[in-house]
Formats: sequence, structure tokens, C-alpha cells
Amino acid sequence: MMSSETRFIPNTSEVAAEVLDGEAVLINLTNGMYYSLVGTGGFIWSLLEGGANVNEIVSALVVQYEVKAEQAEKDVRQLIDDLKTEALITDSNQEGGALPSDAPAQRQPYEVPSLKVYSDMQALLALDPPMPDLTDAPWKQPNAKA
Amino acid sequence: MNSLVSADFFRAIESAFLEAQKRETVYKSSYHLAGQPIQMQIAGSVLASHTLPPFSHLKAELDNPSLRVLLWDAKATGVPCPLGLPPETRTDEWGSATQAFAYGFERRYVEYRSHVGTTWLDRASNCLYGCYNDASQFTIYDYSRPLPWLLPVWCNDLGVQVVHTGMVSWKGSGVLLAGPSGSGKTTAVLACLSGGFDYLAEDQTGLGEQNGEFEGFSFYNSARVDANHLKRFPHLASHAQRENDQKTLLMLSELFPGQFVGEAPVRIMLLPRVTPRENSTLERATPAEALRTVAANSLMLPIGGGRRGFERLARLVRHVPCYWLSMGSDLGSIPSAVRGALSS
Repeated sequence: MMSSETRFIPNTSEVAAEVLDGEAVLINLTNGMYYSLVGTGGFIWSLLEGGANVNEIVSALVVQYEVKAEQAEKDVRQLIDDLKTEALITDSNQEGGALPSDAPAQRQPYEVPSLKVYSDMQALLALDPPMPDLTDAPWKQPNAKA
Repeated sequence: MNSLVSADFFRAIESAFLEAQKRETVYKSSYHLAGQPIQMQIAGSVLASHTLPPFSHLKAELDNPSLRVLLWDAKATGVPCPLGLPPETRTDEWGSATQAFAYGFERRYVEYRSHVGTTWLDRASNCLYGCYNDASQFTIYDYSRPLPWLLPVWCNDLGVQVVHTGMVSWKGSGVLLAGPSGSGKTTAVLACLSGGFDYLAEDQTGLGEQNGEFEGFSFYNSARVDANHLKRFPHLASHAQRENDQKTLLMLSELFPGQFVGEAPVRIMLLPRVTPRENSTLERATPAEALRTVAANSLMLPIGGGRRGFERLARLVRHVPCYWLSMGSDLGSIPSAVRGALSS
């Protein structure tokens, strides 16, 4: 069972992610699987990106949303299991970053975080997988300025 | 880098092209592509007749090309394809059953090999050479989108990302159409063209970004259309080149003369989907829905843009309004719905 103190980090070597209007969109650039984190999933993803552990995520959820700690912890653990199963996060030894400290004037309605998995690009990629990331491997004149 | 060896490798390719152009007529032309002047020289009439038409809408009289494209037909000229990148210089090799791609000499050169021939890009001199085995054996797939790998590499170096979208424009305002194959992009593009829109792309668009604004660039005016879809456009069907019962090719520049632009600012993005209704309607899409749709299909192109491409697409969907375009059976309702999206 994962410790409440364990920290996690996005698998940035393979996964790109953006949070837009509270929803996180993630894509695995090597296999074409893509994902949505809905409900409070986008909020939790932002905390994971900051290096938060389970305790810290639960505390932040209870402050920001109308949810009890027991329910929040159950949902966070399930979501983290799902994210690890899809290799979207890994354990981290790094220190945590800043967490949202201000309590809102009114807590928001709680929605269970969930991970939606989209695998429809898999068949296409079985034929022609994407190239190594060109934009991260540019060629420059040997004397060109970076 | 061993510059002597590097020069020898590319000199062999240059020499082969020079020999080819002595033996066959060379077709020279210039184009304005991805905001840049490019020049093409093609040795071999069949190769030229297959390669140039998809770019004809971008033709321009231009000097000082940013890219020179030099191609020859090995069978027509009798000049065989050179060996290509020396094995010891190759890196980042990628291959499938039908094609192979590699960098060489610390990524200065890029080589793409398929069943039709081999192309090489020198990223330092911006020269693209190509040797094709026999252009008379090309299929619709081969000649509908020439240089399908190395043009995107060159564009990437320019900061122009190739995305899997259609694009049209109305009075200078660009509309991206994003979705997986079969979602209705081509139907929407053809319906908009029939409704007076200008054309930029049916399947692949160049996406540039400058000062927070997004620009779409046209590459090809050729559209690969499934034969069943073409039945919905009887006025176009008789113009289609057919290879078999399934695949057809439309050269749109011949069908819609005067309705082409090389580039346009992106004002909105539409996500087409087919519905059983008669009329076409619009609903606002969330940025996340739009990003999922455009990113999954674009980043998984072989030259997809990777992480920076994803970040650019996220900025795009934050910047422009995005809508679901629910397309009805009345194709005439599509262009009016798109105009409505532009004016809302």
C-alpha cells in the first residue's frame, strides 16, 4: 500500500500534459494513448506536478471542495493507482513544492476525480509509430547561438 | 563532425542529380510555401507531372529560395539512387515495413527511404534531394502528397508545425478543422469550398505562431477522398482520378480556381462530427475537448512536433474559440454554419 508521504512526479520523459479550465489533458508521446482527468482530477494533477503527496492532496481537496477527508483520500489513492498503472506518474524523492494555502470564501461542489483513457490511436501507430521528438533534437550550425 | 566525409556523402547525391539533369528535361518552378520561397527542379517528365500539381496553387515568381528541391527519376534518366547515409553516421533510425528514416552526421542530414525512392535533406544548406525509382509506378497515395516526411522536417526547423487538420478561410479569416480520419474533415472542407470559402488544406496544415497569433499554411491542393464520400458531391465526382473502388484523388486547384490562399490567420477551430440530422449546427467545445482532438491526431503524425508541438496546440485552443460542428445531411448548411461561427 502506498505511503501517505510518498511523492509523485509526472513521467515527463514520455508524457505531455496541460490543464485547461480544470481538466487535464495528457498524451503519451511514444504510444499515442491519451487521457483526460475530469472531476477534481485536473486540480489533483496540478498538485502532483508540484510534488504533493497523498496527505497534502487530501488536505488541499478538503479546503477547496465540499468533501470529507476519508472520501477524498479514497478517491486520491484510486486516482494515483490509475495514473501509475498507465505510467503517467512515478514515485519521486524530491521535496514537495508550494501548495494552495488560501481557503476559498466558499468551498466548491466536489466531483470524484477520474481518469478517462483513449486508445483509438493505437491501431494507427501499430503501422507507423511517431518519430523521435524532432523539436527536441534540432540540428544547429556548430557555431550558432543557442 | 568529419566535414570531409560529410561533404563526400552529399557530393555523391549532387553529382547524381547533375548527371540526371543532363539526360532528361528539367522542370523548374518556384513556390511560396510555409511563408518561404522554395524552388523545385525535377528531372523526368512523369515525375514532374506527378510532383508539381499538388503545389500548383502556391506557384510564384521568387528569387533566393529558402529551400531548393532537386528530384530525379532513376528509371527515366538512367541515373540510379546513390547509397545514402554511411551506416556509421546514422542515428535515431526509425523504420517500419515500408519506410525508414534516419539522421546522419550529427543530425545535419535527414534521409527518408520508402518503396518509391529516397530523399535527403541537408539542414545546413536547405537542399532537398530525391531519387525516385520509377515515377510511372506511383499510386494516388504516392503522388497526392509529395515529400511527405522531409517537408515537415524542414518546416519544423522553421518553427512551422504540421498538424492533422483541414483548413479553409472566409474573407481572410482562417478556420481549422480537426478530427480523426472519418470524422468529416474532408466533407466539411469540400462543402465550404462549394460554398465560396477559400482553400488551404484538406488533411495537413502548417501551423505557425508569432507574437501569440497563429497562422495556417497550405501545402497541397490535392485531396484523397473515399469514393463513398465523393457520392455526396456529384458535381466533383466526374473530376476524380480513381485508382480502385475506394480511393479517389481530387486536384482542387482545377475545380475551384481562384479559391486558394497560401496562408491565413487562424480565427476559430472546428471539430466536425457527422449527425443523422438535416441541418448543421454548432456547439461550443471546451479547450480540453479541442486539445484532445487536435493533439492526438497531430502529434502522432510521423513528424508530429512532440512535446513542444503539444504545448503549441494548448496555446492555440486557449487562444481561439473552438466549436463542435455537427454536420447534417444538407451539405449546403455547412458553410453557413461555419460563417456563423466566424461571426459569433
